[in-house]
Amino acid sequence: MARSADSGLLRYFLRRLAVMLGLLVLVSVLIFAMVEILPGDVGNLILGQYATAENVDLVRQQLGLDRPLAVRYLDWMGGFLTGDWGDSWRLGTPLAPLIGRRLYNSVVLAGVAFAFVIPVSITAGIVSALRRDRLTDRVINGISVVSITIPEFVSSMFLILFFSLLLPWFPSSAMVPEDAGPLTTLRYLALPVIAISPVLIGYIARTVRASMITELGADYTRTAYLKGLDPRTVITKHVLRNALLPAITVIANQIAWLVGGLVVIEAVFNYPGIGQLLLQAALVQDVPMLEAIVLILAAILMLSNLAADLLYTMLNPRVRAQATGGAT
Amino acid sequence: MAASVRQTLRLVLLAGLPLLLVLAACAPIEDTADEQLEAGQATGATEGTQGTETGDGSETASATGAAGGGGSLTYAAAPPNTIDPHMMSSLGDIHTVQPVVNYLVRLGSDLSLQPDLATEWESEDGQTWTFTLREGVTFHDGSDFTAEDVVATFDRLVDPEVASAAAGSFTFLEKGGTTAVDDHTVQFDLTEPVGDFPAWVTAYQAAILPSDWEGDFATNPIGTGPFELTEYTPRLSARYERNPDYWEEGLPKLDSMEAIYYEDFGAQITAIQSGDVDLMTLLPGDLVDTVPAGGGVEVLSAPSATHGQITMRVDMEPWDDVRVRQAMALTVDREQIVEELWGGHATVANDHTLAPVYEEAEALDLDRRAQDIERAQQLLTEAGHPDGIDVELTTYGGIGIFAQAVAEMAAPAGIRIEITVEPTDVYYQHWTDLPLAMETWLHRSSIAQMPSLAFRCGADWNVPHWCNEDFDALIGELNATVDEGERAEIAAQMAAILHEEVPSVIAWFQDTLSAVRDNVSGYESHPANFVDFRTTTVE
Repeated sequence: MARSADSGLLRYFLRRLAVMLGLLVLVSVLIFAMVEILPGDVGNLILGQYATAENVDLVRQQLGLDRPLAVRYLDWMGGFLTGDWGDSWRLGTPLAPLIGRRLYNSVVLAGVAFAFVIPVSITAGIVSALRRDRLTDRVINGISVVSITIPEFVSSMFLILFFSLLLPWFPSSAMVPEDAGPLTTLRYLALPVIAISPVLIGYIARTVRASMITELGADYTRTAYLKGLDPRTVITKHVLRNALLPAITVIANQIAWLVGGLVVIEAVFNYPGIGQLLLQAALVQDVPMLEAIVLILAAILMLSNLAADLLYTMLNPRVRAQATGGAT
Repeated sequence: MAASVRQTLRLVLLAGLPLLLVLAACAPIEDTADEQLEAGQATGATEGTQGTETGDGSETASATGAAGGGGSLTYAAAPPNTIDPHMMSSLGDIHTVQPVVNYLVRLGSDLSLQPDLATEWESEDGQTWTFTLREGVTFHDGSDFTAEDVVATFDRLVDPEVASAAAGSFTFLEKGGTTAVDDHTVQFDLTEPVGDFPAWVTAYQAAILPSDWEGDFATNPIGTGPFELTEYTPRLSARYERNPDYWEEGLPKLDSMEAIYYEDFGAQITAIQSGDVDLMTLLPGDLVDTVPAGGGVEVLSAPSATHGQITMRVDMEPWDDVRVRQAMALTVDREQIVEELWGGHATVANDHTLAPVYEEAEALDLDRRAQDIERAQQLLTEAGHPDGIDVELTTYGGIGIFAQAVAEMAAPAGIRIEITVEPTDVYYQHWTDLPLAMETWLHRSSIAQMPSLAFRCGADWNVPHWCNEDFDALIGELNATVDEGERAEIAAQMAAILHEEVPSVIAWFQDTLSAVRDNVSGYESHPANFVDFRTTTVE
């Protein structure tokens, strides 16, 4: 039994991976096609506004843009698959180290943010549910609702104003010096992390609270209490295990946003993450850079969702039965 | 199959992401950061115009104080796109490369032509130019600077296979037209006389690189300049060390510098306020009022000939009637734009390009066109538009606010303007076809250059499609005249024609702005937005 369930899970996993690869190919085609349709011209963008028509043609030729779209796509795809990501059109530098460094920065920022957000939000959600309708709950609930509605570009401006300009505690630019140790790194990342946290904390805390309340009122909880189990045991062993499941999905959904979607935060704090690079690549139609970044971010999004689903499946026997049942 | 629905949704979201980002491009967020300059925009000064004039070679910077010891400067700049000196096209490029290089002739912040790698220059006929080169100068790799390097530099600049933006300006110079007479003399054989050729070689792309330069300035940053580029990380930062063998004795004063690139000007301003950086190489005029006075930050201002033009196609209705163009010009409250939109960091202009920063135009005395809505209405009625006109104005992100102001000022006179704001690159693909357009024209150092580019009959960038043979004759006369008094007279005639005919409404000349913290001294704003850190120090 157990073996067949496991192989069912494996097949489910492989099927998901195959779908994912197909989607990535589709995304890459779409980007090529969209850049083709968009107004504006790479030659003009590279040479500046007063470029002569001959020079624009020359640049297009140098970039191979005089070839048919399909040929260009296959050529790019071939290179990408064999690890040759090529050079950025605009910057003329190899893409892999550039994107690698930016991605690393973004992952560091996302990691620090999660390390802060997850414990705080889950604790808030649990406390809020246990103290349901009491003052603690109302306060936490109120803060959550308000914090969801504060856009990060507003909170970041206030943070810079108070904690960087009026009280010079933190640098206004979050670009971490190369030789910085962990503590210095935290000092540089503090303001951006605090700026993006409220939305996440509010969102996750409310999710946890809602599912906690559902589980606290569930039949099995009442049974456990009636069996005379210690309330602490009921909550840690039974309720939490179920109540935290929805939080996994919510958190996984935020990973891609935290890694690639912090365009505003990166601009305000001049943080060299991948979001700004993506924006610039789109603005100047730097196709190789745009493709590489979007594919990486898409893969991160899909993988984090897949990981969440797998985790969910493994922790929740009911879902597991469904997933494997369909396959066997 | 709920999973597949979810996957589809994700796909839609993913596909929409780049689209959203590109749509965001329509918003005016990147224009100032990427404000493009064109080749040769900074050519020359008001002197050095014709024939046998000779540069003053005695003016080499003398030793002023001990070399180095001036501290370490951190400055904010817009991110460069390319740092190949001959391919530069944006301010970030220039602000990264210029500390590393020299030119044949330096364009001073007072717009004078100063000897740089050339000590003297002369020409008999304006067509054959001889430059005497400085001796004893070495590149950062230790090799000697000679005439061969100048030949290689200019051959590369005008090589049709290289696509330097400078090639569009150096139309009078061909590959092979530059020859080495001896090790320290170079001769330019131009295809036509250019009286102020020494002014043209100050073009920011015309940085002198070694003849055996192998390309890739990030790994081979070899110039003769005051600083050596030791590290360059695209779109992030650059580090410089003082060049110990720099040929100007006692310079540079700084020991080292770091450039930090900011995609966003707002972040630059908070960085200079918080002291994260000491200097901003460019402060956009519309952000000047976000820098509070007395906060330890000083705004440095340099008057320039940079201006906005509202161009009207004189070969299309309704702009083919000069009265309609004059009416348009009469609706603009120039003082209000200068005071409120530029915070005073601009000068009122009078519908011509001959700015007071030019020596020839300093004493220019022409009736100033003030706002007069009644007169504008009257002119419109005379031109057969008693009910006013409905027109469409096309412009791009960075200057949308000025278009907005102009539209509001024109409405009471019955000129109803609908504004279309395009991404910069889209705009410049069709700007010369637009009936009513608005764009920024960057400073040029030769007073004749802007009229020649923008208003000569049939010129490529003559956006209004205006043609006036008298005006063209005056441009030629100006190019061929050396005497300052006569040049001023010709300039005055040109200004009067533009003012009367109004092919473009020109309401202001804007200052070039930069900002420093109070611990920085020895830095100036430059009209053409060049950077010169030779005498800068940080406490």
